[in-house]
Amino acid sequence: MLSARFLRRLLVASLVLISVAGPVQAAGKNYQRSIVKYTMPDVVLVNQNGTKVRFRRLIETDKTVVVDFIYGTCTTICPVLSAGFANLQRKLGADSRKIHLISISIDPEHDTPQVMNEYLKNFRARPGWDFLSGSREDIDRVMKAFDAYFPTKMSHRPLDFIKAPSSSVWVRLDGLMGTGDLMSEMKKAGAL
Amino acid sequence: MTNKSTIRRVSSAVSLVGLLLLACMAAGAATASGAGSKPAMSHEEQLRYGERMYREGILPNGKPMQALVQGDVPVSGSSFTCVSCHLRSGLGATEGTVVTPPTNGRVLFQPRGLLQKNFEMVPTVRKYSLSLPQRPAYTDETLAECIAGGVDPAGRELSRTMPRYHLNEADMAMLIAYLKTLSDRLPPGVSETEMHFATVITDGVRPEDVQAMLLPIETYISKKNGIASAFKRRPQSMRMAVNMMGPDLVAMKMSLSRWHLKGAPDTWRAQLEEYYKKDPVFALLGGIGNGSWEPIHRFCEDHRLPDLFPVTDYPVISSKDWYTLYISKGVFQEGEGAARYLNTMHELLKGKTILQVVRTTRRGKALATGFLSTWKAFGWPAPVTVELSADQPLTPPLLDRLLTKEKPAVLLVWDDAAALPAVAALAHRADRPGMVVMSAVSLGPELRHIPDAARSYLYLTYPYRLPQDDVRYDSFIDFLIKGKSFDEQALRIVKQSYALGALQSQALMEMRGEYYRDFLLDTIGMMPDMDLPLYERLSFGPNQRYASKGCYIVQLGKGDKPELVKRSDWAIR
Amino acid sequence: MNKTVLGIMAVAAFLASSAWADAPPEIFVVTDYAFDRASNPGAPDVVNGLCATRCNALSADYQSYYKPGGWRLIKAESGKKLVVDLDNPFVKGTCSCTGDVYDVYKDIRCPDTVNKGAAAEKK
Ligand code: HEC
Repeated sequence: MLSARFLRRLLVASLVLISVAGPVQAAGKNYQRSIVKYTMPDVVLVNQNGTKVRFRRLIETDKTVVVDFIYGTCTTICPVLSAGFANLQRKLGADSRKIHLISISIDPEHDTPQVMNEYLKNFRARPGWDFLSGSREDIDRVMKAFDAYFPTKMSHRPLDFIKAPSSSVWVRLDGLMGTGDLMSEMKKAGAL
Repeated sequence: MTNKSTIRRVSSAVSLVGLLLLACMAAGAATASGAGSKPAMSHEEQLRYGERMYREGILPNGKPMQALVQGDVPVSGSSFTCVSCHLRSGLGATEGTVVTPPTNGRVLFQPRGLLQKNFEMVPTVRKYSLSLPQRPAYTDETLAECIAGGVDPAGRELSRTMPRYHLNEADMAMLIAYLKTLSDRLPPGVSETEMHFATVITDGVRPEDVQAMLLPIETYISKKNGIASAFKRRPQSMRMAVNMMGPDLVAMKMSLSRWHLKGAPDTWRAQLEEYYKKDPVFALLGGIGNGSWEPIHRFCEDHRLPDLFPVTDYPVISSKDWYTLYISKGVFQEGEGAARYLNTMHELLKGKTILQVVRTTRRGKALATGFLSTWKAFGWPAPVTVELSADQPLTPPLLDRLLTKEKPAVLLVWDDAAALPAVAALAHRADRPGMVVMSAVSLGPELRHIPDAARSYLYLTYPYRLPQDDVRYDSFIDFLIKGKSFDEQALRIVKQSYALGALQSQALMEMRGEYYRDFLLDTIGMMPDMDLPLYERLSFGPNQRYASKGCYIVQLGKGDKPELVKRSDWAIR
Repeated sequence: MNKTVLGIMAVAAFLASSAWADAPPEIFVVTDYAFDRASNPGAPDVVNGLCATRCNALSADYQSYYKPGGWRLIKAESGKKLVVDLDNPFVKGTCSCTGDVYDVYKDIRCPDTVNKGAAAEKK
């Protein structure tokens, strides 16, 4: 039994290495795109102003919705995703009101409304970009609904989800990308 | 020059790199002072500016740094600092599938090969060697090209996730000078063969609590030293240990001093300075005190000394400080939990009165502070607050008068069990508040004697996993407590200290080969969530300083051995 | 098993569990919740959030059973519906909490590999 546990540790260590090796080597424009259908849970989350929101209502709107998963103290992945959101808002100018950017915390224990508010300010977010947290149970449900469940935030991967108004499907983008790429994906999805 | 390279493992490459590094550092210093707009700037000043660029993204002229990320995303200043990706130690990080390599001089000025001889088992080196392409060593010039233009010395264009920074020559030189100091010299308390720690014990703590705190830490250290001795005797029989810990950690001996602090807290600083001068340590482990941890916390900030999981009910609450990592916010966290719970009732409480009765003991004040600061951050007005002196418990007539006057919808009683008769008497009052909130921890064993009639309106903050759920975790500490007897309080301390052992042993295994203080905290910051005894889900993060973030609101079940019944989630939102 | 390995495992005991003591035989993991409008038609919107708190408080944290190992969770019932009183002094009503019920078995085989394997199969 003891050696089995030890072997497992080695195995885990080597798996970590393998998963680490892939994407970075193929640096550059490398994200994967897929079209998927998701069912959203009717959970109550809280935004950066401390206001409770019903997640499903937020998603079922006549606006384009772009969703990502981040957390307040995250390194590398989140700054890049969030800089992408901030830049998208700047590029869209007045049009940015037609688009609802939603960042969902995968570290709900730490991400209080105050932390999220601070975070958005740091990225000079404009109205139309919300950061949502909630109870662990509810956040887990949202992650699972997007097929993006991270049992611990350290197994986090960069993802963006786009839904055009009145569309029933999502465009799922796996990987880090520039604003140009994100915008052309939105156009392709009929979301711009 | 006590560069770290000179005392590293035997490797022909290492001495060469050391020489190279020396040469580069000399060159770097020359460039920096030569090209600076203010030639009179001292090296220290340059490093300070370099540090500010690295950590805050602010240029020496006070403006934010400008950069481009992902090819076409302009970013600026504080939201895109080097530290947010390469971390404080500069030794980088791996998050999910994204690898951020080290950006300290010692590693940059070394070629990156496929397998670094003798470094195969050092994760920090192995990870980057395996996952990123080979490259020759940087020079100051190629490093500047990399930071500005995103090309490495092999001519490879770096991932566009690494921003391209617009920096003038002088600023670039200062930044590079700073990169050379990152994780460069082994800190006090660590040598090639030994790692030395201390634990702080303050006056007035029960001896059995001190023993409870020490038990897991000392057990861990003695087991670790047992392995080191066995390795020394028969290295060839220790392959498995070497695989797990790497060749240097396996041989490392550990030791722990006890720093006793006596007398008034304002004399502790001098005592700590004295201990530290005579007995330099790599980090403080655990420690225990009855009062505020502030003097020790401040000392550690000033000496850049990690201070891991002290057992204290009164940590310093700060979102900026770096060196002390607490297991929770202590008593404060219960007040915070109460505020979060009441805030879920938002619309229902608007315009209603909340009355807070605070017994001005240290505990009472900490509960009230936790409540008030959280409550105000939600945008609520401060509750009506009545303070009672430390020797004036809340009596039934006093509470009656207060209620008649204020007619609160919610009553918070930040007091100990002395207030229970007054709270229990409310069962007979027709216009009693809808909820009375108290701290379960402050009530202690008296909790069990609360009459049934009062249990329906009494809500309690409980900052631990519920006892009936925590039994699942008993076996974690069985090996420690077997044959010993601890009371409830001491057992809780064993569990808190056990969490430190778990954290420490895992962090050192991750770090092996790179024993730098900031890297210790960076490593803990990148740890996955942990499920351990006593608290629900411990979590970490760069800049997160309180591992347990939750607090249940519970009510008492019926009967004379009542269970606690959850009324909330752990992390109430 | 030589002494050295035992020593290492003693250190590793700081990281992983062996087996737990007696456990509750069954846990409820909430998957959905809703306020029963009919129970109090005039209730303000905030009750949805209160039912979230109420129902989530009934839920066990699946991860805290599954991750440390030593137990097997076997789904006994899917989508079980519990109707509970909101139990709030300021607003009346009931919540329906939907969730899955798991039987919890002590795993006498190697603790966490078994559980992880089972979870991987489910995916
Ligand atoms: C958004 C995250 C991010 C930020 C911010 C960032 N870096 Fe990087 N950096 C990376 C990543 C990812 C790589 C690896 C790129 C590759 O090798 O393809 C990298 C690579 C590097 C390298 C090359 C290392 C090598 O071994 O070749 C250097 C040097 C570097 N960064 C310095 C800096 C400095 C200095 C700053 C701040 C002025 C900074 N970085 C800010 C993410 C970041």
